Order: sequence, then C-alpha cells, then structure tokens
Amino acid sequence: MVESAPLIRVEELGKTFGKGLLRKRGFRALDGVSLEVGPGSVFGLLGPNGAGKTTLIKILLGLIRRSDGRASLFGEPIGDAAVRRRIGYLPEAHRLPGYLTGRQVIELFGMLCGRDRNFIRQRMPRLLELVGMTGSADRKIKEYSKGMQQRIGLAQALIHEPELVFLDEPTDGVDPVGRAAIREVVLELKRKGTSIFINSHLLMEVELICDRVVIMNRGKIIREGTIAELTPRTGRVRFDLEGAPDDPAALVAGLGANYEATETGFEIQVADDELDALVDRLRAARVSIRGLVRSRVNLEQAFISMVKEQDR
Amino acid sequence: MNRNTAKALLRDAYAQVVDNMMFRVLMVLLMVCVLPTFMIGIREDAFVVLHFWRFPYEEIAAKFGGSEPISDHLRQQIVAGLQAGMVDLLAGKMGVLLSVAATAFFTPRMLERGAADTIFSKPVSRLALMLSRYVAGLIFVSILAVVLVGGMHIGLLVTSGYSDPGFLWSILTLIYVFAVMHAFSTTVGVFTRSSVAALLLTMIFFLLNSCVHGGWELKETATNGGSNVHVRVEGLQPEAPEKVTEEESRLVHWLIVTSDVLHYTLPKTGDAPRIAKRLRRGLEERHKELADPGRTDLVIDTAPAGFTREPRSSLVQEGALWICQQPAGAAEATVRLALRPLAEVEGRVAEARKFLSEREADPASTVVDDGRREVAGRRAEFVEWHETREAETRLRRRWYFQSGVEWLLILDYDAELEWASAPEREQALDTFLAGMHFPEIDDPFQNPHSYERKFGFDAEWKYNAWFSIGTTLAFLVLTLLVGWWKLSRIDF
Repeated sequence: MVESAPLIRVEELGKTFGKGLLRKRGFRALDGVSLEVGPGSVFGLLGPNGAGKTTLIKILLGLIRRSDGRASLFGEPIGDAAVRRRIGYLPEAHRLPGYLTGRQVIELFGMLCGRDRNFIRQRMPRLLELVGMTGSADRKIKEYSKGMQQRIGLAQALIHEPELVFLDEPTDGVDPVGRAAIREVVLELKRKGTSIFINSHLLMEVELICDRVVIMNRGKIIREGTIAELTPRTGRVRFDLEGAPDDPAALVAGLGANYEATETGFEIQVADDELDALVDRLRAARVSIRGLVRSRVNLEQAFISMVKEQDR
Repeated sequence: MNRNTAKALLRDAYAQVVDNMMFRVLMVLLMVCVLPTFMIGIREDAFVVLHFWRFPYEEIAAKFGGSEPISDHLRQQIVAGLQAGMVDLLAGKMGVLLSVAATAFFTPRMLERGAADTIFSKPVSRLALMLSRYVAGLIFVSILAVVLVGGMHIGLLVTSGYSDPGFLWSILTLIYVFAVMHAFSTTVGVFTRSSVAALLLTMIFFLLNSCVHGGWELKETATNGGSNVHVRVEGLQPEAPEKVTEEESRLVHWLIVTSDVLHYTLPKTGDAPRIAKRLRRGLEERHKELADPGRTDLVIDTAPAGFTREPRSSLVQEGALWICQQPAGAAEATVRLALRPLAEVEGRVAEARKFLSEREADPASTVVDDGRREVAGRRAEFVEWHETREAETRLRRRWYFQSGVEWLLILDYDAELEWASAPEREQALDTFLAGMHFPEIDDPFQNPHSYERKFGFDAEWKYNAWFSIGTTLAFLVLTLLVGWWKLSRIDF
C-alpha cells in the first residue's frame, strides 16, 4: 500500500468478454483486481500473454467497459473527459493516421487533449529531440519504420504534459539504441514527477526503471511489491580476490556451503552471520577482497517461478 | 468538446480527404468536365473555341443540310441540358456512388485495433469522433460538388455568357444525397468495422431504396392517373371491370400498404434532383409575370405591353386580370385568364362550341373569326367577335386551352375596337401569348400524373418537398444515432 493519495485506485475490478449471440457465455479477462498506484512512481505491470494487463489499462482509459468492481483515477471516476485530459497513453501496436506527418500527429493529439496550438508548438521541438525524431518529423507516418512510429507514438502521449502516462509495450519493435532512448525518456519523466504505468514483456527494462511491480496471471494479481521485494537474496555470495592462495577452499573450511571456485575467486552459500567471519578469515590470510556481491533472484526468474507456481 | 478539439478534428478530416487517392482521381475527372465550359463558348450566334475560333451556327447547320438558325431559347436549353446531364446523371448518380466507395473506409479504419486505442483514449466523446469521420465524407463531396457545379457555372458565365444562379442549388442537393448514403455507410462501418461490408451494404441498401420509391411512384401514377382522366368517347360503353378474387384483393392491399410504409420511412434521395429543379424554378419564376407551379404549371413571362396586373386577382377565383386604361370615354381594356377544372365542364372543344353558339345568338355580338390557334405550345379553340354596348364597339377574343387533362384555361381579351386594331397593340398581344408556356408539362419525358409533376414545396403532403426532406433527414439522424449507440458499446 502506498502512503500518499493514490493516482490509480482499483477495487475488485472484473471484466468478462461475452461470447455468442446472447453474450451469455464469456471469457473472464479480469477477476477481482485491486491495486493502488501513488503519484510520482513508475509502476510496472507484468504477466504472460492473456494475463489481463492490457484489459486493465484499457478499462482505466475508458476503452473497455468494466463488468464489475470500481476504479478511479486522480480520485475521479474513470471515463471522465477531464480525467483523460491528464493522461497520456501509448497503446501496444498502435496505428497513427498515415496521411499526417509526425509533427501533425503530435499536434492533432495534443489538440484533442485540449491544448492550443501555441502550447504544442512551443513544446514540440524539445519533445521531438527527446524521442530523437527532429529530423523526420515532417515526413508522413506511412513512410516511417516501426521504431519511428513508436517514437512519435510516445511523443503524442506526452505532448499535453500529462500527469499520468500509460505505456503499453513502449519498446516493442524498437532497436536497442531506441530502447535506451525510450528508457531515458521514462526516467526523465520520473525525475519530473510524472507517474508512469508500464506494461512490458521486457523484464530487464522493468527491473531497471520501475519502483513497484504487479505480476498478473489469468486475470488476477499474483504478486505486488518493489523490485527488491520481488527479487529476494539467494544467500549466495561471490568473492573476487587478489593474492589468494592456491586453494582458497581451505581458508573457508567450516563456513558456509556449496563452495565453488571461479576464475577470480569463489562463490559460496553463507548465512548473514557467517559472512563477517568469512571476511575476517580472508583478511587475516592477507587476501585482498576486490569485490563482494550478494546475489539476488533476478526479476525474470522470480516472474517465471511465480507464474509457474500459480499455473500448477 | 472545446474549440481546440473541434479544430483538430476538422483539420484531421480535411487532411484525410485531400490525402485520399480516389479524391484526387475524381478531382481530375471533374476538371476534365469543367474545363470545356471555359474553353467552348455557346454564344448567341456561334460556338467560340478558346475565345478565338468562331463556328457560326448557320454554317454548322448548313453543313448538315439544315437552315433553321439556333434560337436563344434553344441555346439556353442546350446549356441547361448539358448542366443537368453533368450534375444529375454524372455527379448525382455515378459521382455519389464513387464518393461513397472512396469514403466507406473512413469509419472502419478509425475503429481498427491500434488506431482506435490511440484516438478513443483521448478526452473526446465517441459521438464527436464518429461525427468527425462523417464530416470528413461531407468535406470530400462538398469540395467536389463546389468544383463541378461552381466551376461549370463560372465557365458558362465567362465563356458562353449564360447565367443560371439556380444551378448552384445542385451543390446542396449533391451533398444532401451523399449525406444520407454516408450516414448509412458510417453506421454500417461502426457495426461491422469493415470497409468492404460498409461499401457493399450501402450500395445494396440504396439499390433497394431506389426500387421501393420507384415502385411507389409507379403505384401512385397508376392509381391517380386512372381516377383523374376524363375521356368521353361517344357510343363507347366502358367495359365492365374484371372480377377480382378476395385473395388477389388482399394481396394488392398488402402490397400497397407495404409500399406506402417503406416509401414514407426510407430516405427519399431520388427526390434530390426534383428539389433542385423546384428551387431553380422558384428562382426563375420570381422574375416571371405569373407562375402556377404544381397546378396548371403555366408560366407567363411578361404582362401584355401597357397592361398592369390587378394585384388581388388570382387564377383560382375570378381569374388573373390585367388592365390597361383606354383613351377618354372608352372602358378600360382587360386581359383575363381564368381556370376551370376539366372535370366540371364538358371539354375544351364542347365549351368553345357552346360559347360560339351563345355569341352567334347574341344580337350585340358579331362573330368575326373562330377556329383553332396555338397558345403556349398547345391547341386552343379561338373565338373573335365584336361586341357593341352603349355606342362603343369592343374587340373581344377568347381562347380555350388545356393544362394536361385536369385544367381548362380561358383567356379573354376585351378592348375598344379601334384602339385594339392598331398594329402595335396586336404585336403586344402576340408577344404576351408567345410568353405563355408550360415548361413542366412540355417535358416529353414526364407523365402528367407522375410523382415528378406533382412534387413541389406547395404540393399535398405525400408529394411535398418538405415532407421528403424532413423524412430523409429524420432517417439520416436516426441512422447516425444507431451508429453512436453501437459505438458507445464497443470494447476496444
């Protein structure tokens, strides 16, 4: 739970997509989802395909009607035009009007968000520079590559200076350089205090930029927490040594378990209270400790194990 | 929706139109149609090509063995025919269908996955977004209609010296027809989210719609034509009507009711050229001395020279009356045109004969001429007599002629004999008679009982242009509301 007033509050949200002529049979895409997102944070939404991530975002944006539960943005009911004016959205696999230039698209969507042309024109050069599209802004969208469309898509989501930005797979189809640029944009928004809600399959990216993460599967939230909370320490420590004896194993005898030699030192499973003793023993033997890394479960490993556990 | 949003949607609609390949192709085709009006002038006496080469009508006629010069009236008819052919047939039918084809994808494309997510997440109502695509279609057709109709009007004015401001009404009627078709296409687009389905269903709907109205008009012409014709042939007994079984009668009744219901509820796009024609005629008739649209359809270009029309006189009651003050001592000269339903009299010829007999029996009258003449392009029974009253001899003339099979028109001329016998008076009367015509009835393609003839802004409700426009616009609004209802229920 966040302490400040939440930007996004979702309570027992559910969505069933009707099937058949009478829509009696259906597919439950969201089932009792509750979460809160505070201002100024970067919130990650993770989950396998069909987990309900995009459905959740679309309900919050008024693109899909909810079947049950409640949701609010900025304390106001979702779907309200005034609320949507404070939101930016980059959809997954979005399609921009091919008959407009990049600059015209940004201007169109900025004006649709209620901003006047002067405001947009003042903000445009900085934004184009930020997404790396200054040189191509006057070409038509239909001439753009997927990565360029993604960048202009991001610019249209930010043109009206939203307080909350939803990014659905923002780096989809973007090359590594572009991906890094988009990551930079997100971090700059975060620095400025804009709240960001990211839905991505690229876990490394989420790990790098998100403060909090929610993991969803089969329409339900299965875990929520900070990156640190979701990626616990494994208890394994890696030592990089200099001036170590030929057999460092003898030095650690009686401490920890699962000793394993590495090129520059060794790795060992130790409890927190044994770690000090181990360092003391190495120092007493005049071994220089050049590095010490307490390893964690990475987000991908944590994500896979959580999803597999729920699927069992 | 604030001003910025509205502006953005309009600019987007315009950008979508001008980027459309079909729009550009149609624009080029229209230019091809409009350019000749700037290049070829149909002047009073000759065709003039590029303001330089003259081809006199007489020379052209002589080449084809003709000798009659082209009258100004014929010249105007040629130009009006060209305009009507271009606008009613080419643009009104083919052009509108091509425009529907070119704009059918506007709405479905907006609703495609990816495009819809981006635009519908913005703080703009779904109705506004749907209407923006609808307006894009209207912009598409409006530009083309203005280029075609406006271009032709200017071209004919500049090169041929022909001005018919009423022709500009066609811009509105072209947009009107398209607006209805596009509303249907937009709504089908919302339901199916498929451009192909929107296009095909719109075409099918309007084909069926045309059949419904065509059938209804035929039914109206058949049922009304039979009851209003009064033809009597001596010695011929009317045949006994064939017996109709109860089942046949029920089927006919059911067909008539179905035809009526469908006709009254579906959009009457086929009326658009008629509306344009009525509006155009309305403009023309403002400058005429007398016009009786929707009843006799008689048009009189000018009053007899020297005569002034009594402002309160009308065709229906005592007749339209023109008066000219005579030299001192003589009673005023009058021209009176009266109207009688043919159903209430014995017929044009019989009435004229009866009247002739009365004149011959009247001791104050001396019949000087009688027989058949031509008035307003049709046969007229004519009687001329001198009438002596209180030492004054008057020249009296009477013409009986018909408007279709419903109205008998009686034209009376009464003036002091000596005054009326002057050549300039005779000429003035001839000019007055030459300025009488029935442009509507004289259209060779029109049945006198047809819907086309009865249609007008003052006609009874089922032939009334306002009823036609009202029901058509109601259909348009209802169609868009259904589209909006569906759009508001779509989960993107």
